[in-house]
Amino acid sequence: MQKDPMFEVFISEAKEIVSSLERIFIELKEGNRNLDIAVAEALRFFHTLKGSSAMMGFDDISKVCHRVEDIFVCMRDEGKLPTNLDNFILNMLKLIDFLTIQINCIENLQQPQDAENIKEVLEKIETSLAENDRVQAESEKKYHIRLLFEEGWEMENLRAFLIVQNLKQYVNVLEYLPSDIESNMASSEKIKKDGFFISIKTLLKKEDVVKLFENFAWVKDIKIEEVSEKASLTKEISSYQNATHSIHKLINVNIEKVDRLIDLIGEVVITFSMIVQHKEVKTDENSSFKNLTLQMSKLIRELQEVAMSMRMLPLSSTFQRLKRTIIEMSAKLQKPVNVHITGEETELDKVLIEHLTDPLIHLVRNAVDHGIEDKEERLKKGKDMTGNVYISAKNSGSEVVISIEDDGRGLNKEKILQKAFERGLITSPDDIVEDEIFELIFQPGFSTKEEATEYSGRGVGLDIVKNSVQKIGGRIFVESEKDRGTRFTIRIPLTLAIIDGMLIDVDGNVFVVPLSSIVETFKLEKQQIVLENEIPFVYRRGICFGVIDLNKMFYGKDILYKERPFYLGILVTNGEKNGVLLVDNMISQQQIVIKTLPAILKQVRGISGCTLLGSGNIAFILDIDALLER
Amino acid sequence: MQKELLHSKVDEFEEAMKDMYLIFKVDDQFYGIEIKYVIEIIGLLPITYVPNQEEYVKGIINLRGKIIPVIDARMRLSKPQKEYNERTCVIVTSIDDFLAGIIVDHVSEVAVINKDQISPLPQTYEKVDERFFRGVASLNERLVLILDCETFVKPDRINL
Repeated sequence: MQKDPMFEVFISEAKEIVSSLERIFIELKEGNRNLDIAVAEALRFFHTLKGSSAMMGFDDISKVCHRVEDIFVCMRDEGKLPTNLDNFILNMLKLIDFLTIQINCIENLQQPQDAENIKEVLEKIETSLAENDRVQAESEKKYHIRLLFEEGWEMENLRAFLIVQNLKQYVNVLEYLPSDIESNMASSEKIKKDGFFISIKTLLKKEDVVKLFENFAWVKDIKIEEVSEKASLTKEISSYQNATHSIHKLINVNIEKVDRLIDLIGEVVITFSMIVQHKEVKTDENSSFKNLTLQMSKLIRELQEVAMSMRMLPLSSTFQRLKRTIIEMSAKLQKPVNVHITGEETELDKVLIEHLTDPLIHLVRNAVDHGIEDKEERLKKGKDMTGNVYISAKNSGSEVVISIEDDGRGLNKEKILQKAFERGLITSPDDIVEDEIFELIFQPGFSTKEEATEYSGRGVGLDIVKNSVQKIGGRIFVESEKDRGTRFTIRIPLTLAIIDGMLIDVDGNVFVVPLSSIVETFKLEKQQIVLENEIPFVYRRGICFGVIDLNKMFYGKDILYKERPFYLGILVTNGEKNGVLLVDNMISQQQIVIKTLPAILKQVRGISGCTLLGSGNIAFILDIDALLER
Repeated sequence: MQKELLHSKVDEFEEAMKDMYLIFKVDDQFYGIEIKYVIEIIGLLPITYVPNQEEYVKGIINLRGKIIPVIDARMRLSKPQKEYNERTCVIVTSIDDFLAGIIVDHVSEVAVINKDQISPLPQTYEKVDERFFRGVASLNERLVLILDCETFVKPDRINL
């Protein structure tokens, strides 16, 4: 069914507004945003949403927005403040959730949730506004100032130093960035690029502060902003720098169109390889044609890369959701937690991000619920009362590495071993190597927490997390130290859509082995394969490897019964385990476009997807992880 | 207002397609499936065998860059096997965005069958998988078995 384009525009706009609202309130919570600015911005968003939802006839949303607008206008114009900012923010987040659900229901043509449910929250927000008008405090205010210098004056660092010295006569200078202006000449470059940042405290009004800079001819531009007591200059600068990075012009594109484009380019790649391999072309010795094909293949590869990058999204919105989960839990469980996020600009395929969100939420829930101790316990251990959760992402080769780390109590080895023993996963504690103990927590039905809480212990364990990570070709590792904390590391391929592969022949069928998992290939004489209890092994350079007979696995035929002088072995690895694939022949090596198998089919163990060959035939892509799993 | 408009559009679309059926033949029997599921009808393409599937799932084909599974109507209906020939064709269907092909002996026509023309199958119809059938209709003196496309194409358990 074709959806109305107006409808689609409304949905995508509404979703964007809701996520912006969420961001505003989370930043407010963290003290990175001034309440006045937040209210003004949120008001604008609610107003837009009200207008468009009313136009589309979604009255529930527009009514709710209208009411919030009233509250916010009241805050803006009459200077009313919430008595408890944290509660106010939590209620606002609830309201945003309600809007999200409404929009999702509308998008899926389902009956939206009743607006009555949200009335209570709205009332709470309303009554939480204090009656007392804002006191025009005669207290000191904190300002953040950003100075841009005229170009061509040079020695920016010393000029900045002069300004600071001069300012100190009139106001209380809290900090400035870069901070090493006296000693470091290189800071001059930074000031040229980003400007000079100063944080001050004073009784002076904004306009009067600006006047202080009038004596300095080289100051080109002054930005001054009143900030909350908590605001820190470093944070603001990083958010300012992020903001400048994201001013790229964006347009909304339907993901199906992008997918179609990528499909088409994939077909161009395939067709092009058909042209190059065509026998009439192959026999043609005309070198100018060869040059052209070389150029063409470069262009196609570039085209492919651009198309792939269109599907890439930064992890920031996912991390924002994690942050939000932690904030809510920390309020409910009465555990103060600081969230530290790095690398949120790291990009990943949209589809992968969708599959990753739930596992990541699970991991941060675990960290706050099980990992981080109660206030009293932390103090007893000599730790800071506030727990920390570190969320980070970075690129590493063709992979993205995401880690979730807490500074809590760490995993309890004895308890894990005992549990594993009870469940019959191990027969005795000596059965397992030290390094493997933590791996046990990824086993199905394994939970060391006895009682169920609101956030965990409902039978969904880390095995589900591991499965969903593996489903997108990723791997998960855990490290932990008693009373120091736990770290989960997830490594995932940048994109699932394209890989370098080796084409192999198994009983006349073509399969693809991802090149990244191949260690080496070699010829195998029949007598080199040891058959013990029907299980084949090969012995190579002092190491014994298990043999995976693909003929037997997929077609029920034993390759060893084929009358051949020798066989072909491919040593594959997933980083931890190794094995030798037994195949009939190797064909070639090429870049392949990955396609998923139709969902209606039953999953085949050992096959992760398929691809189209130049001939138009289909080849299966081997899932090395699953093949090595025993 | 917009919401209602949207729903009425969907209704209109479904209304127009409701009573139209694609009639095809397997063995000596005529079958019909609702036209709204049918995307196109193609000749037989090379089929790649997929291990570990139900017997009636013959494999997957490459339909202009799309990979779709094909099922053999003969085998799904427990009829004797027969070599494919030049009249054999594949009906490409789409159910909830899942594409799948049905291999049939040959396609005959598109016909309008009203609801009241369809009568339920007799209870004692032995050796027939009742889940597949919505009923039977008489069309130009021929008996047409109306298939439930969803249960016919989708396996009992789907991996999503």
